[in-house]
Amino acid sequence: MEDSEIIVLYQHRDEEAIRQTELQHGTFCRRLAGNFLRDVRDVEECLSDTWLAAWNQIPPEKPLCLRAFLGRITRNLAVSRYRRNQAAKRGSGLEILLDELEEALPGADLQQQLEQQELSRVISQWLDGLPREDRILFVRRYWMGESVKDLAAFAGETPNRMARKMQRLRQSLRRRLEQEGESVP
Amino acid sequence: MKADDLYNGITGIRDDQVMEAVDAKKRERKRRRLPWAVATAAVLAIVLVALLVSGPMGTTGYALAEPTYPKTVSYGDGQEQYEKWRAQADQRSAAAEGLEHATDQFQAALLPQLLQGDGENRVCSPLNIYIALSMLAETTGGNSRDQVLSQLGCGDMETLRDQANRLWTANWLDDGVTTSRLANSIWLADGRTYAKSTVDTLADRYYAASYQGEMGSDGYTKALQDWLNENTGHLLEKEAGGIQTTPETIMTLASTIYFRAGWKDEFYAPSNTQETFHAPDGDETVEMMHYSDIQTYYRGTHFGAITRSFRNGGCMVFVLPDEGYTPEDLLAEGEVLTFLNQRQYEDWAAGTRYDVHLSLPKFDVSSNLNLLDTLQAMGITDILQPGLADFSPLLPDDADAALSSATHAARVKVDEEGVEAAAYTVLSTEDTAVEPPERLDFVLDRPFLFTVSGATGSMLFAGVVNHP
Repeated sequence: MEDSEIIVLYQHRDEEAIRQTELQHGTFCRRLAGNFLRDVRDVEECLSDTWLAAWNQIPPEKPLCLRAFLGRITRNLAVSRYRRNQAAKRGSGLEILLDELEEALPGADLQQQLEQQELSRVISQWLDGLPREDRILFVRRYWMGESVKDLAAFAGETPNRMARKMQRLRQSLRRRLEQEGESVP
Repeated sequence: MKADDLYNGITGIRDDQVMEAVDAKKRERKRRRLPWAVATAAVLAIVLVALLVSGPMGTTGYALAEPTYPKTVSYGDGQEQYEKWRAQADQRSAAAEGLEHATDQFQAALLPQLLQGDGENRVCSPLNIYIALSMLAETTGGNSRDQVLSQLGCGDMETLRDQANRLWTANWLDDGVTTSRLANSIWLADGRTYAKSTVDTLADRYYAASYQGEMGSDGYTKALQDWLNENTGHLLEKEAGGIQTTPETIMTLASTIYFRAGWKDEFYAPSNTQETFHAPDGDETVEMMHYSDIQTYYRGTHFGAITRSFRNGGCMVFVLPDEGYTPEDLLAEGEVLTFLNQRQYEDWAAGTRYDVHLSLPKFDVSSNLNLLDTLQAMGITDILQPGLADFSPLLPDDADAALSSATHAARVKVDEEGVEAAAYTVLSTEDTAVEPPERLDFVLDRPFLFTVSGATGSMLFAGVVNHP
């Protein structure tokens, strides 16, 4: 089924939307979550949360690219879950409490949202100026959470060289952000 | 700013940037699943020269000696494996040092001869022909040899041997990522006297296998065809099927090259479109592949050109004549040959960075060329004439031996998976904080020229595509 048809199902509140979403994008989202989470149960729970979040957000959202939309949700949920797990490992009751209370905080204010959008725009612009392969490598590392070793295998380089490349890309992004100065939070 | 802010900022990058990375990953998985199942950009060529003389023939017999080829370190995971692979790559580069322009003169004379066509596709392997002629020089003497040496741009045999051997070493590669395999052989007739020292030189310096058998027999002919097929990845079976030995043949030299590599960045098959290609004799519908990237576009007086890199080294060059000009016009003008002989295309002054949108037809082109006319046109004439031809270094008792046939078959296939190339050269740039350069559409929708260069810079193949 095409993504546009799946979105129509969401808009009609047809639960078939969730089944089709899992069918079309489950593998991708599972792999993405697996880049951040090691435990299979965590990955599966993260996926369930993703489908629920998509159900809650569409409508009113009408994503132009469903896969990127779902990936963004999966990524955020996986990172939240990872942080919760880390806090639990450290065993501090306070950290767990604070982490849980974060869910009760009101959403980011408009100013914050605008600042984040502006930052995303600058990063996207910086990515546009990179050679295609560098751009792909950066997104796969810092958006998709892939390991340096996997990226090295993909690009046909050694992990050491890939780590150096990533360092250069980070430095390049830093210079770009410094040029933007105060206009970026 | 905290790392969290940056993390969130990255989260919000544009969808197309995310999908570009996702799609690249999909293609990688496909490649892993079917590592070599699809013949991607495979190119190969054979050169065959045969000598004829009348007289009685002997009995059967095949392999006299077969070479042991150098082992290539596989390209694999891990720092240690990589260091070993790198060391061998450095050896290949060292072998190629000083050879940057060794074959320029030869190529400049050869390409206009071989690529001038009649509206059909023309493909050849300059390196393959160069090595075959080097072996031919080993078997000849006197003026016959001098004429060959002169065309190969060498003053003496020792220089030629060193050069041919280093070209062989520089271009021998089979590391699991790229295959660039050269092979040579000499086929002798039973019952004749051959100078062993010359056969040994061919074995030592050219890795040439030697065989002896009954010329004209089905078994010996099949052995030759099998050898050709095995060393050309069976991509020239039709042409090899036409190769025969006859009772009059007293010696055949065969030289092959087989090359296969993947594009550094593959084309994305779902993006292919059906487009019109303006062939010399009318429009054709072709499957066009598309790819865009910021890269250098080179200009000549009447042509534009871009390169596409292979994984782990080497590249393919596409030269598109300006409207109103043909590949043949460019070859006649000569400037394009100077451009194609560049080892570092970045040195070409007229190069500008553009956001290049490349449209390239998938193609599978081949040609089967008679080299005799070409050799004559290049001034290699004595070896063709009984009485004048001097093959005494190999055939001390056959004063009437002369070159009777010389054929060159070549084929080049290009598709989405293409030929993979080194990440190092293109990925090292640190262009930052610059606006994307101006867009340039490079659409190969009319006859064009191409070359395929190995990792050490040798021009392995060249061709004109009139019908993709």
